Amino acid sequence: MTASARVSREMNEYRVRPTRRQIFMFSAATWNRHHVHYDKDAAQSEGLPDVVVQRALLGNFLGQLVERWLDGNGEVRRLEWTVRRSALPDRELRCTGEVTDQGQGAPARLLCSLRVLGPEGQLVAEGRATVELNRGVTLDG
Amino acid sequence: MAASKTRRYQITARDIRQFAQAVGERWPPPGGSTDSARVLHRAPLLFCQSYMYDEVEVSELPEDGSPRELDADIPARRAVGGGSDFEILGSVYEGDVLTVVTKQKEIFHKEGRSGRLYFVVVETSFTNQRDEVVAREVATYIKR
Repeated sequence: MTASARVSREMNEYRVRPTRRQIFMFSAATWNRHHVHYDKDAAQSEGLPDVVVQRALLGNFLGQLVERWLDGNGEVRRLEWTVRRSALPDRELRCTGEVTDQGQGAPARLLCSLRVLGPEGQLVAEGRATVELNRGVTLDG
Repeated sequence: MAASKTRRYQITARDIRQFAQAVGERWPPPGGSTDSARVLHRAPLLFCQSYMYDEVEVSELPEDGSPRELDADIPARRAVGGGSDFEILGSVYEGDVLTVVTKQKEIFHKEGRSGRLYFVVVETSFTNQRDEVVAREVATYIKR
C-alpha cells in the first residue's frame, strides 16, 4: 500500500445469497446443532417460514463488507451486530456501510455503521465496525 | 448460571479451510499454499467462531439442539439470534493452539410484544499458545 492510499466514506454495497448448503456448512463449521438452521419442519414449528441464516454468519457478511472496503488498507478491530429479523435461504442480502466517526491520534481509527438488508429492503441486521487504518492511509473527504 | 468452561484446540489447515468455505471465502487466498514453509496465511476474520460451541454429546443438548452455552434455568425454550460484540485482537494461523474460555455473563429479561424475552449473555475469550488474546466475543442470545 502506498503512503497516499485513501479509503472512501461510503462502502461499496456487498451482495450475498446464502444458500441452504452454506447455512448447513456454517452450522457444521461452528458445530451449531440448533435445528432452525437445518430442519425446515422444526423451524416452522418455531414460527419461522424456513430454516434461517445464523446470527454468526451474518456477522461474517458484515466483516467481508468492511474488509473489501478496506482492501488491505487497514484492519477490522471490532465488529458488533444485532439481528433484527430472520434471513431466509436463497434470498439476496445487501450489505452496506459508511464511516460515521473518526478518532483522534495514530493509528487512525474509524467507526463505521453497517447494515444487512433483505430483498425487499427490510432491515435484517445492523451494527458497527471499528477499523484501524494502516500508517499513511487517509479517509476521503 | 452455568460455570465457566475452558477448552483447548490445535488449529489445522482443514479447520480454517472448512470455515472459509462456509463463509464463502477462499483459504489460502488465491496464489497462496499451505505446503511446508511458506508465508502463513491468517484465518478469516471471525474464524474463532468455529470454537464458540462445545462439542458436547447430543444427549446433553436441549431438545432444539441449541448450544449448551445458552442453556439456563429459565422458563424459555426457544432461542433466537440476538447480537454479538466481537473484538479482533490478533490473527489466527494454522498450528496455533487456542484456549477458549466461555461463561455466561448475565441473564436478564424484558417484556416483549408477545411476552417475556430472556437475554442470555455469553462471554468467550480466545487465547493462543503465546498467551495472546486474539479475540473476545460477548454474544447476546434471546430466548422466549
